[in-house]
This record gives sequence, structure tokens and C-alpha cells, in this order.
Amino acid sequence: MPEDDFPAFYAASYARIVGLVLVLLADRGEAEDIAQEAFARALRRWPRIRTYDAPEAWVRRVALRLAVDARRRVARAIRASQAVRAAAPEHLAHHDPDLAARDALRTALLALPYRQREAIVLHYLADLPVTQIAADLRLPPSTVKTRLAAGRRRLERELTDDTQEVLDER
Amino acid sequence: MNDDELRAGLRSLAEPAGRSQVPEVGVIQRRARRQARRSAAASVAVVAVLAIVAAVAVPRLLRSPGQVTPVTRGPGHTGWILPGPLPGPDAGPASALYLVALVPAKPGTPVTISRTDLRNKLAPALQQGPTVAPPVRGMTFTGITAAADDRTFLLTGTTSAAGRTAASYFELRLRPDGTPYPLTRLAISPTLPPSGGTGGIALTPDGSRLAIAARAGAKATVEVVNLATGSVRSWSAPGDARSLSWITDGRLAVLWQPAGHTRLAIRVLDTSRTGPDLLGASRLLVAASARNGRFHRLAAGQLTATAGRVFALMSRPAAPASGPGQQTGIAAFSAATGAPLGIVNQYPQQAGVGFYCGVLWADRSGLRLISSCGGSAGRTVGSRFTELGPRGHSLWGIYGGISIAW
Repeated sequence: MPEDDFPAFYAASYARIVGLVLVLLADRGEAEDIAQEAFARALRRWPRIRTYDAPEAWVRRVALRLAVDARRRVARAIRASQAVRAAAPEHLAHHDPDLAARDALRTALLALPYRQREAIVLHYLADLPVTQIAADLRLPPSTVKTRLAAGRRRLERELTDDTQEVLDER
Repeated sequence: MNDDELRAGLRSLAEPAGRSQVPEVGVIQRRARRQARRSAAASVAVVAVLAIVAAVAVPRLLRSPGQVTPVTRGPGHTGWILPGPLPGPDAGPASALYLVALVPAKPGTPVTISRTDLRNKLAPALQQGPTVAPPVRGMTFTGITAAADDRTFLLTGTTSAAGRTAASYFELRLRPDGTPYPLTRLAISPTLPPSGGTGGIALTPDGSRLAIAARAGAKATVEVVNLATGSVRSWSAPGDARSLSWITDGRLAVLWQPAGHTRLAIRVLDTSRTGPDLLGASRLLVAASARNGRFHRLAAGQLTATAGRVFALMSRPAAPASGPGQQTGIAAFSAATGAPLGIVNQYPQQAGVGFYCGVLWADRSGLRLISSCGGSAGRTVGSRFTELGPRGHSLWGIYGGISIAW
């Protein structure tokens, strides 16, 4: 039966979709929910989608649209959790340098405008070329390039500020 | 941070996703089934809404000219839709953008809808535009009247069989671009068919009520139909009501010929008055002996009223208006007192003067007019009359005899 290959496709690509949305929204529960919603939509249309060259690209596009819808809701929750973390006593903060670097990158990413963050994640995490991102987001490639460049600049600035803050605290 | 470092950093942020267990595919299948149910419910809701919209609105939008929609609403609903906002009293000549010309020539003859450009000749415009044919075989359109919104018209159609004449009433409404919606047959039942001819029916400016002049034997009857409910009130008296026009939504000017008299007068019927006596419910506005300029006799023709003025046809020196040596003029009287206000335009006697003669359209101020008589049509702004096109090419000059409503 043609539907029989869905479980294999799902098993192979689920983690990538969750990872993509997780980095984009910084909310694991929301990322899993969005990924499952996107795969459920794919399952309903699987006879058609399975004939595509890259079914995962279809699921990714759906997930990105769902993520756009969820971003404001998630952003509020993240701001609340950051406030709690900032108010936490010093001894509760972690001192693992890897974890600190990851935290800094996550914070810097979340400081980016959503569309710049989206371009950065698709290009550097999903390894998509500019033309593919442009096709997925239905944008001209030049717009994607602009977002990438602006995102990189802003990210550097955010990371530098963050590092400086850590140094200042020491 | 270079590109590779950024890639590695992002992968580390995504790492928890790789470590977590992939939910069983059954989770996705259940979710897909829920989606399908939601989607089906939404589709049913959309279909239901569309069906309601289609049942209510679409038939009115899609009907093509010449078709008629039978009224299927219950008792108390006539099918009539009240006009939209009316133009203000100073809307100017441009407020009469469209005219509907009716030629009661023979059964099946359509009415013609034309756009009027009052800066140019009316005559060429009359030969263009969409037409609306009577929807019933053997029916003749015999009367037309309009509300003040320049979009809402009411037509009477009559059929004759076995010596009896039956009248039907139709709503004719124009789209914003001037093309007609298909006719709607109105579920109204006046007691008598209208007498026919110009001015035999009259809509209130707000389009809520229809006045009908009818005659049975030597008795004239004026009936007023509430178009929202279909209820009818009537007043009768010996004589003849030759033409009707609303001064306001409650006061109706009637060109009145008393029984046994040849001379005409103008009476104002207060339609809020109870009682069936037409003379008791009305008062004399312009007496048969009234003079206006050189004219001293009211003549049979179009009576047109506005909030401040009443326009009627007059003749000199003696009746009948179309007799030899006559002159005819369109005269203005005060709608409040009946005092003569002057002559709009005067015409030498010629064929066609008489019944199809008078002010065809007036704005609510009564200062802007379109009039036609014999071979001449013109517009009046204030006291200035301008001929519309050369003589012989006027509104009635083309058709011989028409009723026009804007």
C-alpha cells in the first residue's frame, strides 16, 4: 500500500522538524506540538505528498507557517521565563561553559526579529540554500539574503554584548 | 562567531529534539483523524452559511433582466425593498443619473434604461441602455414611478382578458452601474387597477408607499399602499383623479376633476386622515379659477410635486389644451399655499401637447427640473431654462408618448 511508507518517512524526519521549530521558538512543547500537527496534515494528504521530490520540505513549510502563528504566544512565555531566570539567585545559575554558550546563543537568537531568525535557522541549521529558503517562504532570494546578512550582524552584536556582560559581571 | 561555529551552536540548540523519543505513528494518525473531523465540520458550517447566503442574496444579484422572481415570502411581506439613502435637497441635476422610458405601445414592449448626461442632449442617450421586458406574455407596462434615490422604480403591468383588466406591480431596481436587477413581482393587491398614463401611480420620495389613481364608473379612488406590509388605504369621491405626486411622504397632490365639470383643480390629500371621503380628507390647493402668468386654466398633464413646489400644465386662452390657437405652459405653484410662482416654460400648441406634457423630474428643492412637452425637452436650473437638443428630438418627440421616471 502506498501509505505504508509514511511511518518510515515520519520516523526519519520528525526530529529534524522538531529541532528546527525548537530553535526557532525556543519552546520544546510547542515545537513538538507543531511538528505533530504538520505530520498529521501530511498524513491526510500522503498519497499526493509522497510523490513529491522532497516530502519533508512540504512538512517543513507547514511547520514554519504554524510556528509563525505560535510565535507571539511563545514569545510571551519566553519573556516570562527569562524574567524568572534573571531573578534567580546566583547559586542556581549553571556554570557549565557549554551550557552558558548555548544559553547565550539562544538569547541572542531570540533577540533577532522573527523573520531574520527564521532565515538564519533555515540556512545554518537546516542547511538550505538561499534559493530554497526563498522558495519555501515565497520571497525573492534578495530578500532572504538581506535577512540573513542583517540577522548575522545583529547576532554578532547580541553575542558580543552578552559576552561583555559576562565579563563585566566577573 | 564564524559560519561553522554558528552551525554547531544551532545544532546544539536543536539537540534535545534528536534525543527525545519519536511519538508512535498512531499519535499522528489520531491527530489526522481529528483534523479530518474538524475540517468536515467546518466545511458543513461553510456550506450552511453559503446556502443561507445563496438562498437570500444571490437570486437578487444573479437574476437577469426580463426574468421575474415570484415573491415567496409569507403574509405581510410584499417583496419590496426600501431604497437606500436619498440624495440631499441640493444634490443637483446629477442626482437624476438614470431614466426609465416607458412606451405603452403594445404588449411585450420593454422599458429602456438610459443614463442621462444633462450637459448633453437627452435624445441620443434615450436610444441606448438595457431594456426590461414585461415578464408575462400579453402584458403591457402602463405606468412607472420612481423613488428619490434614482435607483428604485415601480412599474405597473396590465393584462386584459375577457374584457377585464388586471394590474401587476413590479419593483425595478438599478445596480450602481445603472444596469437593472431582474424584476420582482410585488405581492400587493390594490382594489382597482390604476387609471394608467403619466402620473397614475406615484411613489413617495422615500419609496415606502405607493399612491394609485383609479376610477370605477363616475367615482375616483385614490389608494395608498404601504409597500412594506401591503396594507391599503383608500379615499373616493365622484370625479376623476388625473395625476398624482407626493409633496412630502404624507401629503399627496392630486390633479382633480370634479364630477360633471370640465375644469381641473389641484387638491392635497392628507394621507394621515381617516375616513373614505376623498374630498373630506383633502383640501383645495389650486382652484380651477387660478391664474399663473398669462395662463388661467389647468390642463390635463403631468403633475409633479416637490417639498416646496407643485408643477402642473396650464393653457390659454381656453380649454381644450390641444385645441387651435392654444398655448401651453408648465406652471409652478407653492406646495404650501397654492400661490402661483411663475411659468417654467411655455410651448406653442402642437400635436402631442397634453397628457404627455409636464415636469418629468424635479429634485426635492424643486429648483432643478427636466421637462418635456410636444417636440421640446429642456432642463431648468433656478429660473433658467435650457433646451435639450433641437426641437423634434426631445423625449416625447422620439417615442410619441412615454412615461419617464428618474
